[in-house]
Amino acid sequence: MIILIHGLMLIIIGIWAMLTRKNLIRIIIGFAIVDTGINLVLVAIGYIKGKTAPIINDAVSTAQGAAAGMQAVDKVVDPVPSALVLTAIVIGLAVTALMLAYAIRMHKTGRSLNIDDFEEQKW
Amino acid sequence: MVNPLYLIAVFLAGAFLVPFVDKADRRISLGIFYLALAASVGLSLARLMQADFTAMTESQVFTAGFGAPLSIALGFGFKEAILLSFVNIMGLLAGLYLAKRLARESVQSISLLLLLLLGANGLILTRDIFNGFVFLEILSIATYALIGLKSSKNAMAAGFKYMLAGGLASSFFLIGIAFAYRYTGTLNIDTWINMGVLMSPGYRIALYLIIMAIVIELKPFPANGWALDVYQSAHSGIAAVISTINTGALLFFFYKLLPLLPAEFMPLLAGAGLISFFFSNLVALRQKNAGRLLGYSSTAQTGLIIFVLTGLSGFNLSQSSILMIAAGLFVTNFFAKSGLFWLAGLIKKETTKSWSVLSKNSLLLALFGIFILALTGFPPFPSFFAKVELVRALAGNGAWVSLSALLAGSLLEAVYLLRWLGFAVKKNEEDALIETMPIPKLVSLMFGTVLMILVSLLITTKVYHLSSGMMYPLMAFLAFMIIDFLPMKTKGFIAIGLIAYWGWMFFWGKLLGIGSLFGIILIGGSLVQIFGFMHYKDNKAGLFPLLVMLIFSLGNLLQACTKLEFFLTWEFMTLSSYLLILRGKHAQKAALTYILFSLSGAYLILTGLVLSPSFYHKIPVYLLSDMIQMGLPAAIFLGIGFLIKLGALGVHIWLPESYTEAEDEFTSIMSSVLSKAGVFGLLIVLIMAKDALVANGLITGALGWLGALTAFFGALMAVFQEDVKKLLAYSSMSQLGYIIMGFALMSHLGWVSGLYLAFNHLFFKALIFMAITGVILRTGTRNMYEMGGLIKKMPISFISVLMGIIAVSGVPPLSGFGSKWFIYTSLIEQGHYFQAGLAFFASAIAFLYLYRLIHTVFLGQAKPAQKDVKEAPIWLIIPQAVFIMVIMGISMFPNYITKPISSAVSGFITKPDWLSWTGYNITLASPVLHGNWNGNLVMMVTMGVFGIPLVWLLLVNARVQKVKQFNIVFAAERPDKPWTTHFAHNMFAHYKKALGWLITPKITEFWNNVTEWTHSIAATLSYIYTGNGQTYLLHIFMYVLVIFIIGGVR
Amino acid sequence: MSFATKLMLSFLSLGVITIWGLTLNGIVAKIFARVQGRLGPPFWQPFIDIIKNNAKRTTVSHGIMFYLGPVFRIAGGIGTYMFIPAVLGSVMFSNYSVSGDVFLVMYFIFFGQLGMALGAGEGGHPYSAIGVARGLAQMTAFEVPFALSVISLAVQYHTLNITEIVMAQQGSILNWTLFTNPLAVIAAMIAMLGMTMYNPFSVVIAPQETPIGPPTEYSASFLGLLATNRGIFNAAKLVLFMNLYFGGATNIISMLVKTFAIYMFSVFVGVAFPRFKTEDSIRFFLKVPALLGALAIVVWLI
Repeated sequence: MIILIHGLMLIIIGIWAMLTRKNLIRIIIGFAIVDTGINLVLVAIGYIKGKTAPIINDAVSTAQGAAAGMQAVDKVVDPVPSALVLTAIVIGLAVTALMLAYAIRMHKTGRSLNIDDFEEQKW
Repeated sequence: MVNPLYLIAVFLAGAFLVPFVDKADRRISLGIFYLALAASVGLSLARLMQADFTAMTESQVFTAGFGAPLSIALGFGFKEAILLSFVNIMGLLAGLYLAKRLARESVQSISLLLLLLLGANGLILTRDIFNGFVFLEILSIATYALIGLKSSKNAMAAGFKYMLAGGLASSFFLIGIAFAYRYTGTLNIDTWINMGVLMSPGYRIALYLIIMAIVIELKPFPANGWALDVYQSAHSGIAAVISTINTGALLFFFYKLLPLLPAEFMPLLAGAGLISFFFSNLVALRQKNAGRLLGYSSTAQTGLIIFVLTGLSGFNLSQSSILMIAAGLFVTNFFAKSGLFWLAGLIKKETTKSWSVLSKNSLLLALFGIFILALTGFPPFPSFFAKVELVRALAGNGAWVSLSALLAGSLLEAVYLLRWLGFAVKKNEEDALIETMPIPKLVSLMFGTVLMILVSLLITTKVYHLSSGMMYPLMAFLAFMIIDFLPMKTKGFIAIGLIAYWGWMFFWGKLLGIGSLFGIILIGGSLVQIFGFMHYKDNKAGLFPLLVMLIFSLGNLLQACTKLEFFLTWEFMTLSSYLLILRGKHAQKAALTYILFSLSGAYLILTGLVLSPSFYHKIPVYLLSDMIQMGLPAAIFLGIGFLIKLGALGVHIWLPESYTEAEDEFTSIMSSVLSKAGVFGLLIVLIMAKDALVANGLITGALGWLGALTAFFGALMAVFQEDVKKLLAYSSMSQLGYIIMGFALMSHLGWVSGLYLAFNHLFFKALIFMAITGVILRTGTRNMYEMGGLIKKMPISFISVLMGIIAVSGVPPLSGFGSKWFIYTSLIEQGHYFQAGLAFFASAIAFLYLYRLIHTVFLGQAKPAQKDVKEAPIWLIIPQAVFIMVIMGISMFPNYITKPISSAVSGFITKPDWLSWTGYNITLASPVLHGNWNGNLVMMVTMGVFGIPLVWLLLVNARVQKVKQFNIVFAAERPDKPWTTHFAHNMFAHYKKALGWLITPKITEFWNNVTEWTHSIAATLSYIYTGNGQTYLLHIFMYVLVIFIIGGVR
Repeated sequence: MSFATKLMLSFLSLGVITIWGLTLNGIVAKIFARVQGRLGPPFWQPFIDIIKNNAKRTTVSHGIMFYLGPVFRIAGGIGTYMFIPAVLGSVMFSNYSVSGDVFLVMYFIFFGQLGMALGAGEGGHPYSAIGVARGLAQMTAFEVPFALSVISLAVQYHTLNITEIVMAQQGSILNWTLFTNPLAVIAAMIAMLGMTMYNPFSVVIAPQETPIGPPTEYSASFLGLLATNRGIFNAAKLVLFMNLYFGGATNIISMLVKTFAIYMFSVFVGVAFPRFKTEDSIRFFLKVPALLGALAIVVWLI
């Protein structure tokens, strides 16, 4: 629970940073904070009580189809999410990196890191 | 079954292989790139060809050998196969379009494009929500990076804003997934669907966040500022990809998630979609940048598809028909939008106005026209059918607010798109020819266009089962496009032969009652006037295809059976006439006004058709009309729609402008033939709603007064025109007013008078217009005061105009008097005394403008500049001769026209006993009114009383001394410059002093104000797009929050 | 009755009306002169003028339409008369009135005016065109009360047939439209002031500014035709008014008396009033006279 609250607080702080800071780098940092918060939330609520680890044995049917799948997740924790959370962390990293790359090129072309200096297209 | 994993494998392998082999040679990496793209196309098409499309679950593939949710499931059914085929073909075309760029840029961009397609393919295939997230991010990251392909400051800024927005949306998505997982314990979409909607509010909020994240990615108004920047500044090839592939994949993912959502989400999403559609189109009105305009249009279209997917679920519609509507809209936008972006990249012009360079390149202009018309929703493109079905669903279920928003939004869309088309056709001398046309870019463009047309034809024939006869206008258009290189006269004779043959085969003797009357007007009337176009020496490219298409669609109005056929034909007619008007030299504005009024009319007609009882198959509408009785609402919608086409007072302002600015020969057809399509429609409505209208006299009473006022004000405005075509345009409006007045009587005599006038108007107005066409051709001006004394140079034209004005004014012995006699007697017989009085006044006013017409052009003092003017070319004289003979014939023997009209009308309203023919004498012996008219005897007497004095004069006046035109006595002197005494300019100044106050342009002012206000609102709204990335983030945040609060999601 | 007999009778009828019309014009000219304190020409002056004009040797033509203008004009005059039954019950004076009803007559009046306007137009003299423009403008205005008045008659008598209208007025002087529908008659009589183009509606001819308006360029036999027409056309219009509003005529004497009396109305007004400007006369006709015409219809609706 504490982790969940921390995660949500981080998300809010991050969004606040994205909305109010003018410096591109700070905005990116805000985004990174949001990302971390989300991952914390995932960790916090991803655990489901009363189920075993997703290891295949006789208790778990491997038949295909949604109904069989439903049966299976009654007994074990769904393994797919945990695999995908890892992916999400990687994706967050990638996006942050790309954002930073953009920031560098924006500094090169626009000679500024202030987001207010990039308002030429509007209306 | 093709394993969808191959698709993913192909892209992944390509993306990883390309950087390696690039070290060797760029050509190898490009080869692998195109190979991968081609393979993906092949795979999706192969799946499409397979016949094993059964239930959804059957086409699922599970990875890693487990069933869901223990593994990731991919769905590869029919829908996925179709969409993937489109997406991957588009990927190939986009790759081709970008070929040069990719050859130059770093190898990463090739990989990125493959990754982008990987993301899109995965997003379409996956049945796992988290997997969907991963593919979404792959798609997004690839897109972000590709925007950087153009390293301008604006592109950078736009990319960064996009990343911020995308990042926020992904955050919502992830949080939503996390909480939803908490409640369901799985991430498989199908498992979620099977669970049903859990009642827990937490779960609902989670779902809300998930779906809103997708909605945000779909760029809804007003949370879409970032997307517009991207469209504006990204490389055109990338913008095309974003607006087609990205949008397609996201929309499909959105569609996949819909079954998860509780029912109360649907109206919210539908509302959001419709708002996005309407307001994006509204704000786009003021947009001058082509790329940004396309962005607005894209977001609008996406909004509309969201609306279709969510808003129609409450109605009694099958899933497949909803999907069909969405698909129609999507496919059109898919090809047209990518084509437009590519065109933008090809001609490299930022503002929409500067697209006039296209006027120098007919191929690109044609492509541009096709894209614009497809987006506007003209047949035969799928968007037309989608909109028809959509209106049917909405109007049929009484969703009036949605329907109004839809139609208003569509109209706004038409405004900016067609205005743009107007800019493009405008010839501008300063524009240089587009010289550099890279072949790959052109290939993409052409291929996309051909695909769009093929898909359109496939849908038209396979899904909507339209008979081939209904497609004749289109086929004729294409056929004449092919032979467009032939000389004008050859084309003219081919057209005449073709239409005559068609008329002979399908119409002659096969039409009944009013059908045969309108057959003569619509087909016969246009046939004669084709001659008029044949005097041109240069090959007027595109004229005959459109003209023939118009005539075929006019004829098809009589063949159309079902509502869809009727409306399709109506739209073909509108489309071809619009493009013909647009051919005028300065007709851009006029054509825009014309098409906007026509489209509004068409929307009303469509709504009316939906509301009316269903038509029978295989029976033409005009025959059917008596078997169906519709209610008042349907009749009112249809009636107003047709009145717009007629140019009734209040909605007439398109009429003078477009008549004036269209090419002269075509104005003749517009006035004499095209307007009769409106007459036809109005009559059909009156027949179909006869019972309801007779029971409620109020509406026909109002209609009658509308007709009377149209007749009166049309005549009055004609009096004060200096432009000869404008004068005639207002005159046409006035004449159509009489027709409306006659029809509104709902009596036998009234309809006879309306139809009689419709015939007469065809003959005399075509006669005058053809003659005036010759005059304009020879003098090179439309201002009457710049002409004068042309009777000596153009005697035949003078005779035509003379006959014409005698017929218009209703002076006996010509047939025009018959129309006056019919209209007055029918009005008085029905007790509409004051309408008769006003009609009388209007007819008297007609003398003013008719005298002005003939005097200032043909009489008075000749201008020295026009002393070498010749008679009009023979091709213009031929139709005139035909019409003069017809007028003389029916004046002499009115029975040939009055009797058939009466018997046609008696099919609907029985001929009263008191109306009878004895010889040529028409006797009216109603209990309330007696009267008679013997056209033949009048003709004889007139010839007698004319002949005797003439003979007398010839006898006593044998030695008449001919003098020159300038030999006049002016205040006892011969004027120095006699032509300056030509009394022409502002001829009726005294009349203006007395009655000019009646024609202060109040109605024009009103419509101008409407335009002005709409644009002002659009401008004000557009200020929400401040250009600041953080503001856009705030928009997104507020958007999600506001809808959450409004919807009360709990 | 054979075609030839009918034709002969029509010629006789036309002859009578021509002589009477020209005589009336002569008398009116005399009256005008006396009112203005001049001696004036003899009442047979119009005949002399016509003979003289036709006898002129040289004549000037500006072109075919110019040539045909007077023909149109007189054809309009004769035709108008031919479509009106002048004397009730008389075969000779029934003319060709079976061709149509009162609307035919009202529209045939335009035939001559239009043709004349075109002929005058080809003459190329600005005064002609100015006169025509004025005349047409004024015509649109006085047509309104007149048309409303005729519509009122249609409401009253349930017919547009002139003979039937006359029939309905027989029996007593009180059956005349003048007494059964006075509003319509007033409106029509005011409209007639416009038609006859005497003061205050003489701006078309306007001798002081545009010598004689439309016929400015015409001379010799052309002028002769025009002058002949002036007699026929005036008389035809008077006969029409007599039929519609003053009980028609059952014999030739009563026709002569009644038309004379009706004519005198516009003459008396003409000598007593100054001239309206074109725009003023338009406004005038569209106000009180048009309102009276409308009232004449409303009265029958209540």
